[in-house]
Amino acid sequence: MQRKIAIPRELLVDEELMLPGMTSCQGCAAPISMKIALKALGNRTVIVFPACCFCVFQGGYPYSNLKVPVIHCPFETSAVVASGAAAALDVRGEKDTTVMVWAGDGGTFDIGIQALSGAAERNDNILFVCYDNEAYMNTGIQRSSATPMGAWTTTTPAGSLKSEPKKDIEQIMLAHHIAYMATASPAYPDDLYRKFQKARQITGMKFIHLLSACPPGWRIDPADSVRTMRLATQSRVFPIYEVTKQTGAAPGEDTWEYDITVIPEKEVPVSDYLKSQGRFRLMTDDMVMKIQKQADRKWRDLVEKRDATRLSGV
Amino acid sequence: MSVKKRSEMAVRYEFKSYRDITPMHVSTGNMLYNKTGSWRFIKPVYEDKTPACQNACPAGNDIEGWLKLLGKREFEKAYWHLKREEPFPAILGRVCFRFCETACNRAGLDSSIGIRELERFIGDQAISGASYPDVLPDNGKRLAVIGSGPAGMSAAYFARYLGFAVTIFDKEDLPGGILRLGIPAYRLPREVVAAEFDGLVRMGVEMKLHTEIGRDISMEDIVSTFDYVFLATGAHQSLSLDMAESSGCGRIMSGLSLLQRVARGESPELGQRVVVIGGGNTAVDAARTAIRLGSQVTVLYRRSESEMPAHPEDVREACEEGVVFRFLAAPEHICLLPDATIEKLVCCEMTPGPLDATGRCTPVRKEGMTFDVPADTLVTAIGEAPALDYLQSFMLNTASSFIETQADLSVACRLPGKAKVFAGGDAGQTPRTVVHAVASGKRAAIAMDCDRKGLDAANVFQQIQVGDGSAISFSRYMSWLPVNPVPRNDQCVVDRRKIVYDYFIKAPGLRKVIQPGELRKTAFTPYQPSLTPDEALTEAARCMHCGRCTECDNCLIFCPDVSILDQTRDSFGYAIDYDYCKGCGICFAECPRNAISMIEE
Repeated sequence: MQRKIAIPRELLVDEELMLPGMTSCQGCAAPISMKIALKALGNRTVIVFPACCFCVFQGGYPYSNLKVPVIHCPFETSAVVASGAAAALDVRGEKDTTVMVWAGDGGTFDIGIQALSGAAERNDNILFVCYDNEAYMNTGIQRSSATPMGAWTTTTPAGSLKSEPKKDIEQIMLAHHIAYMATASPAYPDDLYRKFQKARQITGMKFIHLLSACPPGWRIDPADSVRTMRLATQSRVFPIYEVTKQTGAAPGEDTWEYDITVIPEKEVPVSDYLKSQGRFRLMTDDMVMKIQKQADRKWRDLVEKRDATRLSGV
Repeated sequence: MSVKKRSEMAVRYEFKSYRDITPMHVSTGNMLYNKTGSWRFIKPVYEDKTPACQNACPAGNDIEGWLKLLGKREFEKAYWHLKREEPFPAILGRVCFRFCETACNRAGLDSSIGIRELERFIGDQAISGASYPDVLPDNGKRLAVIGSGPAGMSAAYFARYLGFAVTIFDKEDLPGGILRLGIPAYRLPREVVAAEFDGLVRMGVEMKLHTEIGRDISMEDIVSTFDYVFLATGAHQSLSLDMAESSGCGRIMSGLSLLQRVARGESPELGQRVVVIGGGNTAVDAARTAIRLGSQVTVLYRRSESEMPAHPEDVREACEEGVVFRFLAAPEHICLLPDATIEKLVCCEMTPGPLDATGRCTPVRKEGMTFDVPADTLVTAIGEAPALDYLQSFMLNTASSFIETQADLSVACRLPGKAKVFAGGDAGQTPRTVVHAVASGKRAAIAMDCDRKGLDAANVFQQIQVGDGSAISFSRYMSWLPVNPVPRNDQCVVDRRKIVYDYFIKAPGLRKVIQPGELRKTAFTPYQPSLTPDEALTEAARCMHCGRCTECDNCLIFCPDVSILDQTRDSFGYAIDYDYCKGCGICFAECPRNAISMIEE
């Protein structure tokens, strides 16, 4: 028997809010995520795009391939533009419209972080989605602070591979006490669908960290894009979990509930994930070991936090 | 969304002058004008392939097809679908050696599907009702089938279906050949065989029992009255052990004759201790029969357990019933008592020697390592050969111990009449299992039909080949539609490397509780209970449908270019919008069961 991907069939088959004809590379995972996210959010959605692959390939002026309103904005302003849009909708009394930022890892981890931090601290009612392909792919594969240790990029070429670990954006966002933080991967579309649906119903700052395979940048075959992302989760390099704020009785008594939403049946060593990609081809065994340890530690922490949540009876 | 509707939606905006540019940049069109299909150099196509189970089945049984129908609770449809390739599910559902289950891709996840049990379930569902199809109109040709074992039955079934007037000749009083006289009743109840023959007779097959070629009717008579002859006389002549023959003792018999005598209702006197020599299915069946007659049984085999030709499951069940196996042991000579009864067997330990032509070790004696095995009866089951005396004067190659056949199973012989002669089953060159015999009957029937129509059989066989194996498909010969109305690529086999196991949930396989050995060794009644409908449905639901689309929506969900179009509501499956498909191959890679192929443009 097959693990059915549980997304309502009428949504899959009927109204499509994303059209074909985009100039995304073969095997790009971002349109898969967008397609499913829009199925969960519906047509009452406003999307804010900073500079990123998606803002380019979904149609340059005067074209747009998404059947929802889209605002293009400068690189570092996405979160604040979204805050403005959310405030405007609030003034007009439109409570059922979601404002979503769809930013790459550059627009989130590096260039977009100050506006993002501001919006998160103010708890503005926006959904910030980072589709993380782990480098500046749009401009030709330059390293970002989301690039993992040991990866090849044009600015960390052979001989000087990136030696710093990836920035832990999830912890940074959690440190802002936001309403909802989740990771998701298009390799698990039903989980992704459910998280966007949940985020739509939460008021306040929501952050979703999406893993997004980039066949040219990751040096993989386009057909392997989903498989590679699945390996990322199976190897626990990219665990899929969510953290939901439970508002306390009095100010300062809020708690955060952890849940690991995809527990892969099959466990694989991180080397399986790394070896399947050309960008990690030059990695030393030492680095692989380091990444394995990091992944193990992260998973242990998550399990601990989830168990603590369960024990506290939240 | 249809392809047409989509292209109507395309809006391409062109600025004629600077006045057209809006003061605030607002999109006025979409990218549908950008036909990204031009990027593609390989394209996905939906194409059903041959699952590993069907490829492994000598009869080319479309297992996935009838499991799909069974899963939908369409028992009758499943039965008829099964019979397209393999006409006797109640029989093979009991005695088949399950080549399919060994190949089953599900074993790469948890355990194989219990295909044989399911086949038996379907066969038993239909055995009481009208279980035979309407046949094609008479084609004016007459076929004589010599021998009513599985090969003869199968040839008769398929040839009768194709419109031949079929007569089966058998020297015994009851039809069935090895099914009745070789396979013990605890594995295959006689009613099941009788029911299948009832059906054959209802289809219009004429039975001439108690008619032996050469005794009651001459081969010349047959070849002058019939257009085609199918020789399926089996292998009933036991090979003899020189030592046993020369001893002159009465308490020595062949395994096959023991099985035949018991099958005819006798209960031969075997004494307390029985020694069976041999490691094939006849040896194991004879041992299990002797234990049911109340003796203690030891089986001596000169090679190791893993080299036994007998089916491992039968060996295990024999052990449970109390049969003792001694491997790497061969008899040296028989010690007789003064009254010419057996006292004991002097045996010698063996050691694996050099490999022979079949890839097995030739056992070598360990000098001086002899031991005694006390015995009252000695049963030799070291192999069987076809009895071909009735063909002696016609065969071109009389030196051969079997009937030599061409690829279409025709036999070169010097016969006076007009008839063309074919041969199959154990008498021919096929491996000696029931399913191989059934497959040879099907092959011969199709070859005869080709001959009648003046077609080149070799060419036709190539067109209807199943997978990369030797099986051929009757339904493709008849151009019957498969269960899924999609294009087929039957030569392509889906093996474990092509399955995406991540999409399948582990589910334990069927574990049928059978009677304990102590209990079942007391009687010849069948001991394996049939599946209940619920068990059958649960087991059928485990099928992964390798290579066959199940409309699971994976391709639809994962396509990054929104180029998979659903058509499950109107017809079946999905269509691909080649205007926009970039050929990334994600649908192909994420199809759990390899029902999509990538082909070069």
